[in-house]
Amino acid sequence: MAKTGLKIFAISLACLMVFASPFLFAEKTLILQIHPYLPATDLTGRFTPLADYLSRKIKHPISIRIAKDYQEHIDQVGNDKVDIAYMGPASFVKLIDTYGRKPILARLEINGKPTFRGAIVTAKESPIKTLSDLKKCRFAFGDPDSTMSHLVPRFMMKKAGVDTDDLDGYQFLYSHHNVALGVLIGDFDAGAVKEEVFHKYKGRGLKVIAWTPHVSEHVFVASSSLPAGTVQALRKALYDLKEEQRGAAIMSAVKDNTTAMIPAADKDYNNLRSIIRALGNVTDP
Amino acid sequence: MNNQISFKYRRVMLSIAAVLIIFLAIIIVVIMAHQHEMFEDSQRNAQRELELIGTFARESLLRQDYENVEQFLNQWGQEHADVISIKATAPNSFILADYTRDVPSENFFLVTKHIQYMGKDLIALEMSKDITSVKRSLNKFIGLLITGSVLLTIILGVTLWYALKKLALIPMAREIATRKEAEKKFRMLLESVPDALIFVFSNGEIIMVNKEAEKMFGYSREEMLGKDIEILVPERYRK
Repeated sequence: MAKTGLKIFAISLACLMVFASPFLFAEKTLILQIHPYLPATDLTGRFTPLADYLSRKIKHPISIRIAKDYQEHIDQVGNDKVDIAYMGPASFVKLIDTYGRKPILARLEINGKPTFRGAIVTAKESPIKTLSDLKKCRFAFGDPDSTMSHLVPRFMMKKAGVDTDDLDGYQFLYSHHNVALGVLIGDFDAGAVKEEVFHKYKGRGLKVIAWTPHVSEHVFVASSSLPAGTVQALRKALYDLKEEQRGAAIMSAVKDNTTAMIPAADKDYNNLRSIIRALGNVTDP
Repeated sequence: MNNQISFKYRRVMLSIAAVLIIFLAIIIVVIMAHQHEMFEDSQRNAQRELELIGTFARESLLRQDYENVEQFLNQWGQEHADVISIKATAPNSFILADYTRDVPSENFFLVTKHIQYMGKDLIALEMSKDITSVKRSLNKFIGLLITGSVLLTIILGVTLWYALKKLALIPMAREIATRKEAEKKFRMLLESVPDALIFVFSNGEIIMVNKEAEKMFGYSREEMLGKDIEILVPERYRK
């Protein structure tokens, strides 16, 4: 009798938890975390329209948090400390390789293309013309975990026979814009930036020595602890953005010329994964 | 006598005008000195402002945070309405930041600052500031001061004039009128006397005659006045 009573109590408790969980979850504010590739105020401004849009769509409040650095971003997402994350491709590869698979929500499509590239740049009047000319030069990288301001360019340089030991010196400036300005101001002979940053500073005297290969665009991932229904709702909301009246403005706030948010798979990042593996552990500052 | 009075009036008027001019001249000198001081103050403040910006820029540049300097300068320019332009030029002539306000101004001054660290040039800062608002408030102040001074001088002049008139000019004019009246009465009396009357100075010069004297001696008044009394004495009796 006592056993039957206990069973009934256990079943009732389980039922209560199942039914109550959406209401308990409804109380929680979801966190959208972004890696610090731009100043925090700039990033908050860029992502607020998207957070508001997603909040409306999934009927959950969403707040924005800017990670301290790329590594903290990866660790927070890996440990499910944040609910939604916007990640650079290299950070995404590192995340999956370190913490295992996470639900992918969508990746960006820029001007109809889901890939992007970077460039190794120098000042217009510089005598540097090829990657091999970089020997004995002062070089500026962005963040050690950045795809286009460190990992892919460093792989290209290594392939061209210029390792960091062959340089006169190198530094991590933790921002693509700082790399471009550091080269233009003359503190560095060359540096690595993503294509959109090169175009911004081209008119002020920047030139390309070499373009990087295309790699899959930035991606939104979800925490493994997020309910499947919420993940589905987030995916749908992101895919539907291009059909929304204010969708274009919301997307271009995140990144210039974003035309859609499209489905993505882990294999889309395989070329970058092989570059990162070939480089080994090179993210030491 | 009348001429003498109007001459005195003119002198009083001229004195008041001279006081007004001197007063205005002093005010203009004070205003110009104040204006000069205000402009110098504005320049000193702008230089201090640029030094403050320079301290921030030096820190950021040493951390190689160029973007921060660029953003900071642009924001500084946008948020300070009196900044017309602010520019940061690197030693290799690259312009790191160049903020220029859309609204041009003819009244401005320029301040510069070279930011160095351990003898090495980091960046040159240049800022131009609008002084239209300073000029505008000064002009307003000058206008008020001049109007006030003119009013004050006019009030002062009118008061002086009134006091002078009350204390000196009116009694003087009254005295003159009394004397004129007395002279008139005396003349009437002189003419109505049935005898011939002749007034002479001690030297014998005729100064006043009446009608009866004209009749008695057969000379007109004009012929007698100013002449020696002896002309009335037959020649044989003269000295």
